[in-house]
Amino acid sequence: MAVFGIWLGALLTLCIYSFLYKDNPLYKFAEHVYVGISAGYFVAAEFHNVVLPNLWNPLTTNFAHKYYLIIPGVMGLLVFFAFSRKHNWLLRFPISMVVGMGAGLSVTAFLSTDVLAQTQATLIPMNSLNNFLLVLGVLATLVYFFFSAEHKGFIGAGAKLGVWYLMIAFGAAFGYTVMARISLLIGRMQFLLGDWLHILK
Amino acid sequence: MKTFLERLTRIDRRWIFLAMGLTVALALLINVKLPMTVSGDVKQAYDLLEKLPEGSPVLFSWDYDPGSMPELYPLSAAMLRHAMRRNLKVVMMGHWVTGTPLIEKQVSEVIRTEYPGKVYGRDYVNLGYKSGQAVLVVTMAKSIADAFPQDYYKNRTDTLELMKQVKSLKDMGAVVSFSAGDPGLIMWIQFAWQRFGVPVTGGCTAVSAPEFSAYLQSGQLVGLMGGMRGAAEYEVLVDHPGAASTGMSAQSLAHFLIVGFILVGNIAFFLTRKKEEK
Repeated sequence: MAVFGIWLGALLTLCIYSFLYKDNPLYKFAEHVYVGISAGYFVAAEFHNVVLPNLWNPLTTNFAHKYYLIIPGVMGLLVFFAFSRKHNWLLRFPISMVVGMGAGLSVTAFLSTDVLAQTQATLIPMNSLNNFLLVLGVLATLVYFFFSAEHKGFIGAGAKLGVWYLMIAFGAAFGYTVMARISLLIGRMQFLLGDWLHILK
Repeated sequence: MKTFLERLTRIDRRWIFLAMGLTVALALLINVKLPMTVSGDVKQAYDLLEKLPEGSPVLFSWDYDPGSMPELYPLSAAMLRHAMRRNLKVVMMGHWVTGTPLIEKQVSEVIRTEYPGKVYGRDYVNLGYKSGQAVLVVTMAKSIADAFPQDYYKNRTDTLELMKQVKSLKDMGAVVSFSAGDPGLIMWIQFAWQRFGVPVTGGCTAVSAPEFSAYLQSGQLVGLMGGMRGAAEYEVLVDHPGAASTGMSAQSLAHFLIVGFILVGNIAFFLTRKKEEK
């Protein structure tokens, strides 16, 4: 069975890589298989890992103590009204709950993590070249995104410096992206040459 | 000469793909060994696990799927190996549904093979996958058993020996996330560290590594392993070279090839443009 899996994986990998030559039916086949299997797997996994242990089992075995589980259960069922033209307005209840809860959790988390903590980390003494460059870079980049004043004179110079900082950041990000893509190629090569063809040392 | 330069500027990209594929394949086949240095960020993450008292519980979160395996699988293996060697108690889970089987694969390859004395339920626990993202983390801070009533093998979580001692996320010595995106490392920083004060470390795909530099700088993240390189450095630290160390040599040669292509392409472009101007 394991050998069959490896052969299947190898053939599907080659199907996907055939896109590098040109778009073709083999690539499309592998792409559709991937999307279909992922979706099917997701539904089954959600049912067995979430619906059964967190909702169905407590409700059927220990119902007396967990009445509140009925609320998310009903909310979850309301999602299926998406398929009804007449009653699809009921879908608004679970969606509003998810959006409200998501926003409530993420706003406070984002403010404390990405705004306050990051601002605090920039308020540092400029007693080293590193610290000086960090503070200068943050200020210059902010100046670049300040559009209420014309980018001339002092502000223009600051904006230009900001562009340089942005370019360095984009360059680093691009370098890392190249590294990531090659890593994926290496991973597939290790699979094809090692697990499939057994010619790697 | 002119024709050759013009040809270089109009080279079909399929030749570049072929050259790249052959370079990587040859580097892997010949098994080229290039030197590797360990960066401060990776050492910081290593030290976090190294300095935890023996027997401390740590949470390992597999927040990736097979698509990011080449970068994150060797890292999770190296960190799991380190935790087992240090006799840390490992609680494993995952936020990515298609990544859950990878936990089981790793348990089988690292723990059952190399540390057969480790007992499931006492030394390590696999809680498996659960959706909910931030809500799940907040619930775990209240009670892990509420968030995960049963583990991956359908045992009741509150009956496992380790989980009797580790009732909440706040009991963890550290959280380690192997992150390929969202939900992943950022979510653990936002909730486990910022809200509940649990130290967070982990690895991410190379694409998202620059994004995490800010969290590293601000001290919200204790060390970071970026991509395959981070994994290879960790393999050096635990003295167990694996897939990442082998892959890094191919990675370096591929980078040389790209730099070569960029230089040749630009030289050809400028030379042909100069001749056209004349």
